[in-house]
Amino acid sequence: MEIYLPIAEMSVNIAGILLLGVITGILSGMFGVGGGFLTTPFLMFIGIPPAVAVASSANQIVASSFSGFFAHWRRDNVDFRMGILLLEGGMVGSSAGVWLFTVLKKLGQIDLTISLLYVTLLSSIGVMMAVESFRSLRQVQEQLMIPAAVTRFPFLGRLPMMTEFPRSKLRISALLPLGIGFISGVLVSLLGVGGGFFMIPAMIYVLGMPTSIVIGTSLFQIIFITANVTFLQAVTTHTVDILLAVLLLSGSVVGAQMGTRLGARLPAAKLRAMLALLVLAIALKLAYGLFARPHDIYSVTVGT
Amino acid sequence: MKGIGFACLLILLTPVMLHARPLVADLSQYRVEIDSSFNGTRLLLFGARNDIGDIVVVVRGPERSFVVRKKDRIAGIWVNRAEQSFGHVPTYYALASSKPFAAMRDTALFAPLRIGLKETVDAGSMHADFADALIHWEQSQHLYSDTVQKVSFMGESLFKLVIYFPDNIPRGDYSADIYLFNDGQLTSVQSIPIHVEKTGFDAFVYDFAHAHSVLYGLFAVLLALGIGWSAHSLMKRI
Repeated sequence: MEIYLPIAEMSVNIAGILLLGVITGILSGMFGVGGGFLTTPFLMFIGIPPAVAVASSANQIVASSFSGFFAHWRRDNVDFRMGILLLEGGMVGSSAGVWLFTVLKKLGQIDLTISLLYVTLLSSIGVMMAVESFRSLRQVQEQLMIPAAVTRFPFLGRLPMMTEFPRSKLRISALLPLGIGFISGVLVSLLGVGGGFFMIPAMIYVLGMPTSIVIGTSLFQIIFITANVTFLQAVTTHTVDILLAVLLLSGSVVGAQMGTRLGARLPAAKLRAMLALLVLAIALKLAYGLFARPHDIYSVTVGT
Repeated sequence: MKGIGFACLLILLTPVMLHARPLVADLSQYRVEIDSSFNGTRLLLFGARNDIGDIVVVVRGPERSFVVRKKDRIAGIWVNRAEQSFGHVPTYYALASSKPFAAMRDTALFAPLRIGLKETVDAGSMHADFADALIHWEQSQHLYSDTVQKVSFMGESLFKLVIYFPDNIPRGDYSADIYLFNDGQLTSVQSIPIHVEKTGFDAFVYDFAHAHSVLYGLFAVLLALGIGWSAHSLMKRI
């Protein structure tokens, strides 16, 4: 069944969009990633204008991360002190990202920047996670995982603004979560994603936070960042399609609950290994797109 | 068919007026309404000529500017390099004629009247391949016609044409221009405006998103939070 989207100005298949929502919801609940890195490219693929795809999937991630956050909060898996610092960095970063987006768009290099960023980020994160998780899967001992960057590089421990994080059992500089939040904020505006796929590995491997707390904490931050992006896009570019977002999130809220339950049953290392494989698969597909001869060497952008 | 009957009646009743106008044409509707079930639509154009000559019909959509970029290979990666902007290009373009187009090509008036895809997009651009790419892109969106449609005649003077609008037509002001050419001369022309607009729930959402964007943004966020929360509390009970 087809439905006409008022802002995207085209009709889409309802069942297809709902299914996409369920899949991203499962990812969101299992791994704490918003699933935006899957939704946005898929929406563009079926012909939705990129700006509408980015803004509407941000709107959808608000709902799926809020729903997923509650499930983790009930299990006390959220470090609020850490989350608020990540959030502060994220707000500044997403504003900087919006500015960068406009500049690159004017130069006609935004698509290439997005692809290059995706490939570099996803492949390095994917390899790092895969190596670590398969190693700990084989040894079945969490203790033997790679020590966090905080403990490996002493200068990170000598930064100012040392703060106690009782929930994560950490004592680190507040600048670290602020910085991670900032980078994830830039990615949110540039890539139209929640930023979880960058933030989660960073929290595990740089800060050394326990895996169980990482997902709930990142969901907490993602709610606010994506809400901010949705609001800004609605006001400045008028590209938030409420109907598209509602269709996506009807599927994703159901998927998120399924994902959370599924995630609770799987061991943490296995969960990370699965996420690593998924991330690598997407990186490979995007890398192929960069080097393969494009279908059409001309691209058309509609102005005013 | 009703429209054609009406056109017949018009011709029978007003022979005097027709002498004053070599060409009379009308449309089955002047407004196209886009609602959530909109899946493209067809308009019937009908009319009569009271003079010899060939009929050419052009339907143009609202104009926009476009940027076309060409990718080049740099260190193995395909990167956008050269670009060309096009201003005032119609977003929709349909073309029809009563005679095969090639047989009428002798008329030099096509370029200034912007009849034909190349005549419409090319206008002054130095890189023909960029114009071709833009035409090709519009055709892939089904917004430009691939071929010149046939204006069919019933008898000597009555003619009709079915105009197709796909589901992705932009809203705005369109025009159907009917030209009568004879011996390389433009003997008559008529322009009929068509208004494409959104109606119903979609129009409401679209207009609200533009006119009250702050409220719309807040609503979008609150709606998402509400659905997220209710889904959570629902699943908790199950």
